Amino acid sequence: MTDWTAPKTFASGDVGTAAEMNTYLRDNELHLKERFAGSTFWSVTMDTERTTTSDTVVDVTGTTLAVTVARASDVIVVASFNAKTNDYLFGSYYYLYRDSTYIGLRAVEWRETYQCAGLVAFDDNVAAGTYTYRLKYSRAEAGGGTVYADQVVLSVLVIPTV
Amino acid sequence: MTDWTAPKTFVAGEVGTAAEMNTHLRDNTLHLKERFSAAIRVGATMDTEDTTTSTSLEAVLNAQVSLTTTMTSDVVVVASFNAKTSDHTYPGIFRLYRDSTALGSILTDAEEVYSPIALVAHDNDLAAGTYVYKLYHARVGAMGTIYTDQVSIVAIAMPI
Repeated sequence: MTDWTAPKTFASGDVGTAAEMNTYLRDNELHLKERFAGSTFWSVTMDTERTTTSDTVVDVTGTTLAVTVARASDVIVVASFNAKTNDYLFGSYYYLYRDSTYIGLRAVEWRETYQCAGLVAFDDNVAAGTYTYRLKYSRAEAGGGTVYADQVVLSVLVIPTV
Repeated sequence: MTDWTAPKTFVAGEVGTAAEMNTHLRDNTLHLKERFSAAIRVGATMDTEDTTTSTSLEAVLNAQVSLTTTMTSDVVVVASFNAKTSDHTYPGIFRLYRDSTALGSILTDAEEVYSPIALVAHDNDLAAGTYVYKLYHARVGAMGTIYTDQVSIVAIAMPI
């Protein structure tokens, strides 16, 4: 990644040297170009009903999204989906994750017919690298019931911090 | 803030003057850099149940995020949370605010078990400054308690 250098103020009679032109013209333009290129948007949709009877958090199959972060960035993750359980005594939880890291907070659904649900998470200052963002789910209460998810749209916005 | 000037087209043999270098090289690159730096993102979470019996919208405790903009910006605010009422006859209502200014629309929830809800608002043409974006809730009617929990709120400012 190309660093930014505060541009020089030229004085009357100054002729830019090669080093100055490389720093203030080439490198600063490259820096800006790389920041533009680093601002990326990713999305995945999944329109097949998925279920789990797990008491622990598992992936909603088909809702994983591999994202390449070119430089340190803030990442905003938004998901909309339909959610239900087949037994209101046990309920269902939904979560956003980056790889194995839980981000944001969980949504809970106790109803036995599909309901509209949404989640948003702010993943602060993520280092350059490749990550998988995903929607996960589990039973809210252990021991019974099936948890459902369908019509998932998972979107990720990456914005460089430097 | 540094102004943008349409870049000059130089002709063969021309040497840029100091003023031209300052305008077209220094100031234009500074302008672009400042706009990048003014694109701000902030987020916060609140995972403690908060209740209200108020019939006027009031802030959900600690469900807020502070945003400082350095240039006039459009701001998009998104919140996800769980909500319920103790009596389905008297539902809860939910709205996003910037300080004391109502944004977007009001959502209603009449379930007596927690339900997942998402709200989005567009805060248009906002002057530079520091603002607090908050989730508000209230009760509709004479009885019941409104519950809000697991709030995640994100604000994104893009200079215009």
